[in-house]
Amino acid sequence: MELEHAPTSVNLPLPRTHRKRWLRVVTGEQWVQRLLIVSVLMCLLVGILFPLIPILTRSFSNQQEEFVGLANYRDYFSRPALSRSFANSMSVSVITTIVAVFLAFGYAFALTRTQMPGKPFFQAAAMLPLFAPSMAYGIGLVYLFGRKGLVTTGFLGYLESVFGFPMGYDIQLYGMTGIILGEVLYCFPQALMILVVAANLADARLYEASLVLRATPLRTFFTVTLPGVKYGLLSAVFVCFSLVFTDFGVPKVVGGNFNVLATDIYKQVIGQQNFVMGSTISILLLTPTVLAFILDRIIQHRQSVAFGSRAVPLQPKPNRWRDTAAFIYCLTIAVAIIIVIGTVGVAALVNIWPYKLDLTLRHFNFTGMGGGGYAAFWNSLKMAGLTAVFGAVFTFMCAYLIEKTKELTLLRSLMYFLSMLPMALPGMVIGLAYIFFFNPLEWKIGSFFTIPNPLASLYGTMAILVLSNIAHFFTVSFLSATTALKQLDGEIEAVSASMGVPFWLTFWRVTVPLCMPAILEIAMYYFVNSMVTVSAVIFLYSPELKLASVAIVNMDDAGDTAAAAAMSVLVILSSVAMRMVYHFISKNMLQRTQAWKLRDAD
Amino acid sequence: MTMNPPIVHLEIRSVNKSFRKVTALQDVSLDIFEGEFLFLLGPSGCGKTTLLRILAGLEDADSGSILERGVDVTGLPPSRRNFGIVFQSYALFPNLTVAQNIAYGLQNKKISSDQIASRVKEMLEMVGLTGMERRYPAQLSGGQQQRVALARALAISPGLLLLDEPLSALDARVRANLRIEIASLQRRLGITTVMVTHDQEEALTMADRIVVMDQGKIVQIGTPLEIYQHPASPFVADFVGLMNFLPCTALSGTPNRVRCGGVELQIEQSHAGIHPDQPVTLAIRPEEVEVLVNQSAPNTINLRIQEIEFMGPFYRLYLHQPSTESNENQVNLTAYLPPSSPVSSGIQKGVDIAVHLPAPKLRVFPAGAVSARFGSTSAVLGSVHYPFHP
Repeated sequence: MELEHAPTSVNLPLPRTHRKRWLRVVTGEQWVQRLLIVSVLMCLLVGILFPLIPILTRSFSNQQEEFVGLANYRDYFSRPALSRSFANSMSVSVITTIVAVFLAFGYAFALTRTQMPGKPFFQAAAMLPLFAPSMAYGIGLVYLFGRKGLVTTGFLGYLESVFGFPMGYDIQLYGMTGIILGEVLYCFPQALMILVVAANLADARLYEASLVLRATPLRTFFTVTLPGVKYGLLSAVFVCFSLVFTDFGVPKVVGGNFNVLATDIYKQVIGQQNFVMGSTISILLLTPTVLAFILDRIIQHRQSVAFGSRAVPLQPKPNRWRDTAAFIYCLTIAVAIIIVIGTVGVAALVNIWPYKLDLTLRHFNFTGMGGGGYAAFWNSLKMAGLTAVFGAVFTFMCAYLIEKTKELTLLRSLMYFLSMLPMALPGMVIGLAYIFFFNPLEWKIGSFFTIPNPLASLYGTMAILVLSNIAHFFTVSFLSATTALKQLDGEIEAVSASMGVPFWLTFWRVTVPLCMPAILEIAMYYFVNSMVTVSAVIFLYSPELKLASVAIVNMDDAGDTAAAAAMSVLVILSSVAMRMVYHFISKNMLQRTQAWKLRDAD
Repeated sequence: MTMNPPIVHLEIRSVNKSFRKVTALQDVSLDIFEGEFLFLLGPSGCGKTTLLRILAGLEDADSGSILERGVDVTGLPPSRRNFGIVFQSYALFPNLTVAQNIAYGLQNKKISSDQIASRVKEMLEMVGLTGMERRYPAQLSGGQQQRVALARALAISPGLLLLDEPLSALDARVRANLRIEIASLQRRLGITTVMVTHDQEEALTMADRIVVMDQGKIVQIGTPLEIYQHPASPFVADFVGLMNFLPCTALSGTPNRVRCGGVELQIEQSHAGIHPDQPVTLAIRPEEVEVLVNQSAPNTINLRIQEIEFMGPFYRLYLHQPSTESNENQVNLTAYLPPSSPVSSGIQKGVDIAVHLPAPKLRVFPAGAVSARFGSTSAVLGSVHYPFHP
């Protein structure tokens, strides 16, 4: 209803009834709201929408920045060496999506629909990949299945010495196999989170009805279970597809000669300084993710319509065979995840793989390595911290203004649209778009007109890194903030206005404390993602401002895989440590701000 | 209401409001008097809540104006108007204690903390929650939470109290108690109060005046008694209380006689303006129907008992006319019969009895007005509708 509210402009003659319209009195408080809305909108325009303009125009221009229409796209598809990557990206994404969603579906059902033991452990194990940069899975896989990997060499010949014949097995890691293995790890937790939520939406009454009507378990599965999670399944499919299609880290490490779009952009821009082709590929990278995003939004909308009423939550009953099977299934997957991530740890500690297997901390020294060593690590921590703080504050403000104020309705609709947009933007596209937008000293508008770029001084600074991260991870954070705000009573603002209390006081005294768990969660999300991300920042870091995730890429490129593994371990540990600190803080803080939730027995 | 000639507190002048294509309010005009307890009553979607929100400044009217004691306040935001409001959802601040909730609006005014504390204490006493200062809303029952919301709204001593379905989320017994308390509190404080409800019983028991609304328009304004006894339209008659509707034919020559189910009935209200031999609808409340011992009285119809419900203080009889040879509409009636009545010993399903329809109680409406809205619902148990009844 709020967004359909009548426009607030005054003195408009009414179309049919020619009565004089009363004047709306605008208070200082409302001016403050308008000012805030306009400011936040400006930030969204500068951070998200405007940077997309130059990258789009570049893909339609030649090196001299003259308009050439679709020539670049024709050029791209006429060069098999390039267009091959598009097909590669597609096939890898489709296969990974099918495998990951299938595995996550079983895992989600084991977590929500069985009474198997060890659920907290399985939950934590499945989320582990979220704390690692995607290059780390690649490194883990290399040490397991690479040319000198544990499995490839039959545990470095140990099995041969015991059994007397070669027991090594080479899965031909580099290329499609490796990318799919790594990407499955990468998107498994994402798919799992969506499917767990979907599985939890199940209505126990439907299962009871099915049981009473004596449907077979198989029939129940197809008539109750699958329809119940179909939106979640589709959503998981789209999210996984987009993640894999745009990921840079895994193909960079284990892709070998198997090129995908994300690595191509990197090669075009960093290797050949060909910004035109980089932009063209970026738009090609963007198109399927935008499509997936639109389909996902349509599905999400349908789901909110379909599950409007309150369902009775399903309480799984113990079933020995099913619970045992679920336990074995989850244990297999959890162990696989832990082995791959754990291998990264081993790789970081072993002296010279596979020749000197003694343990050492020398890889954590980083001296003489490219990438920037500890300076890069501290920079990453600082960047993640700043992103968390500024991101959480800005995101919450934005969601609050859209959700809880009534001023400038049209601008707030635009704000909502801009807030959803980053979901469809791959990190590489954001990074490249930021170069084009922030780097030039002046913006060309048309062919003759130029204006000086007031934001050029941001280029190469910490600020642009933080900004790109906030933009990159904005939508998910924004949606959590919106969800938290929607759960508050819609009349809180009306009640305080009736008491003459300005909105900022109520915001500070009521809204923020009530939403504190969500705000902390958003900050945490920004922190972890900023630590592990490489796609946007790889175009934006400067030689004076190196980053840990970029260092992993560069050290791995240079053959210093052990050092890359060590840096990965630092990133993983800091994210996990931050998660624990967050857990501790939120527990303490929530005891104070959320005291109202604790009912006493009366 | 005050004894003196009433002072107009709020004047609503031809307010219109629509949301996209849906018309929420259509040319609504209304005077609200100083100190009265006014109810906006109507089914959901009739525009009553929209009108309340426009009074509060939470919605903007498309056209028309609101005057508070003669001053135009139409364009003022809520913070510049002088009112307290209570919502169905309570809208208490969950992270603040009861005392902090009540003090919330006072803290922004320049009042010393001692004064605030004593005001909070006074308010808690008033709503009967002394000793609950340090509780959080989640630790209170629904009824207690609504009392806190009321105390919070009244703490700032507003000139006008707006209540948006404040009792609808509560269970029946709490609702009945709070009903009495709110009404007596309102009379004690003498504060002009506008309450929105869809519950006709609330409106009848608590209001000084009721404004019945339907489809964005005001259909009747009056005291509870006026509304109940002289409903202006079949809609009002049906929405407020229970009503029997009898399809009849106006008789030519005699302006005060109609034919109903083959029986001629005398009415007091003239059906002037309705052409003879045209269908009309008579309306009579179940408690106005007299179940007779002897059958000789005028305005009497013989009916058969179709169903009996024992309600405690009375039997509810569902009566219908045994099929007659005439083609006229059958009469279906609901009547109440106290168990103490001499007739009640003989009642049984299928038994024929006579009912007297007193002429002063028979209201006449044009037939079309009724059939348009109620025509199809008279299928099983006569044309009586059942709003909430305890």
